[in-house]
Amino acid sequence: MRRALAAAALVLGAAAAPSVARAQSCGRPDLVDMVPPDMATGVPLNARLGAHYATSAEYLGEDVVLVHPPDGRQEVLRECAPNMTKPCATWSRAEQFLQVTPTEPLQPNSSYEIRWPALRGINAAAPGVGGRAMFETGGTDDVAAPVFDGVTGLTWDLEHTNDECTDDQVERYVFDVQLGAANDDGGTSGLTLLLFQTKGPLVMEQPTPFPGRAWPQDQDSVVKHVQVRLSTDLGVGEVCFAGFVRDTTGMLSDSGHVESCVHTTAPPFFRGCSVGGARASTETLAAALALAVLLVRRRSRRST
Amino acid sequence: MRVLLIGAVIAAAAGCGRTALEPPYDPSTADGGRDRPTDLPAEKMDAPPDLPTEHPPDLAPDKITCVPKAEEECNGLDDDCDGIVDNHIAPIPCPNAGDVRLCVGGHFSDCPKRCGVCVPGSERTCITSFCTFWGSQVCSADGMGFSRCIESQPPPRCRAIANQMMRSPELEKCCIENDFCCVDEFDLDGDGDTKEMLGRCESVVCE
Repeated sequence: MRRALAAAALVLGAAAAPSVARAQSCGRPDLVDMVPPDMATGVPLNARLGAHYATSAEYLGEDVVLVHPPDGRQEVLRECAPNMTKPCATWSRAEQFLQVTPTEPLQPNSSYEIRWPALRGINAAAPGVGGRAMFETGGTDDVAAPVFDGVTGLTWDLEHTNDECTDDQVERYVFDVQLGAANDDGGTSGLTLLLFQTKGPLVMEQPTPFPGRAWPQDQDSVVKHVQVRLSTDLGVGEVCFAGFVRDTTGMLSDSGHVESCVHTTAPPFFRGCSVGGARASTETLAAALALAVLLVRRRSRRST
Repeated sequence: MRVLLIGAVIAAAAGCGRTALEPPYDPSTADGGRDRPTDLPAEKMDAPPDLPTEHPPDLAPDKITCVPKAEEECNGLDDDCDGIVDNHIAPIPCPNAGDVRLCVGGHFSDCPKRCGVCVPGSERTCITSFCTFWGSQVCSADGMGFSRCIESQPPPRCRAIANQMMRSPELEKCCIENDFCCVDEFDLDGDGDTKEMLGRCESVVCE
């Protein structure tokens, strides 16, 4: 009944879409990433498997399917219900994270495929995009907490982009967050990054969490980077970030005390003549004077 | 004319490289310049003049010991002296099952939310100052804010109120009673917040 009502609400929400012109990608409830990701290896045998979805996604009990190709077995994991004893799928609305625990422990050194469902969205007529990941298990359980050097660097910039939902030009601070090395006995492919804004104009005593995301796998170097975008009222002045990594069993690193900070400037601003540096040097002044004298001489020669 | 030309070239050179909105560079007021003591030897120039720069004479630097407290607290300090700040601190559960507040940067974090301000692509109703007195705002793709109020026709059930009462608390009341998500511009709930949303806002708010 609850599911039927929620589905009806979604359909009505989509039907009552506003008259403002929007891009089709606006608010699409697509899958964002998977933990472990596609082609992961050494996945611990006690791993919980998860997938992050876009902010607008709503989980209405869609099935998650875990396939074990060597024996052709297929396990359908459904939404957890009260008093349900079987392993089931849990949905974290705050993190937009769908997570399942397989009924039986994963078999060592074996291959699996997990199929994540396409979810519906509050403000989208069509369902989003789901995903599937092939992965290989390792030989052991994940027993130790991950180790993470924390947020080790921070730079910023300001960008102007056209918002696909509002069709307005929006200004956003873009923070390039440098992440220190991370390790876990279950491998880094099972890690989720949890970032927090610990200082900022609207951060009071309570640091603000950002939605968790899979640990970046597409960068070869030990030091990884992620980008965080903040509106100008959230990102001006002294801004600091800190973070944790979480493994597939839910254990966290001890890295929340490692902060990186930067001081941003409120727009509008302009940095012209960047080749000349931040201050006019005496050499620049002398060159300008020489140029002026040259111009005056040339003019006086012409006039004579 | 010649003088003007020379002046312009020099002025451009002097200003080049500075932010247009920043004041001209003055070494005497640059970072740290104002508070720097002038009567100290060079090696102590960065230390405040009224504080000792060495350890107390009765405690050798290698003998400074950490005094452990009963247990680690979320305060940015190594209370239990194990060499790690703010470790082994249990998270605080949030009202939503499964969500927790973590110790980060010496404070417990806020409970996690699915978005910053609003659900991307969602819509709320706003009341305009003229013409139809009715409009809508769309949440941005990153959920960090709403668009400007874009005028539209009020729904039939609120059209008469819009025509008679124009921009008014009555129109906002009509908006709420007809299951729209409405900006509480007239503070109908009396909490002093005129930027919040009232009405049917489940698909708009982040909680």
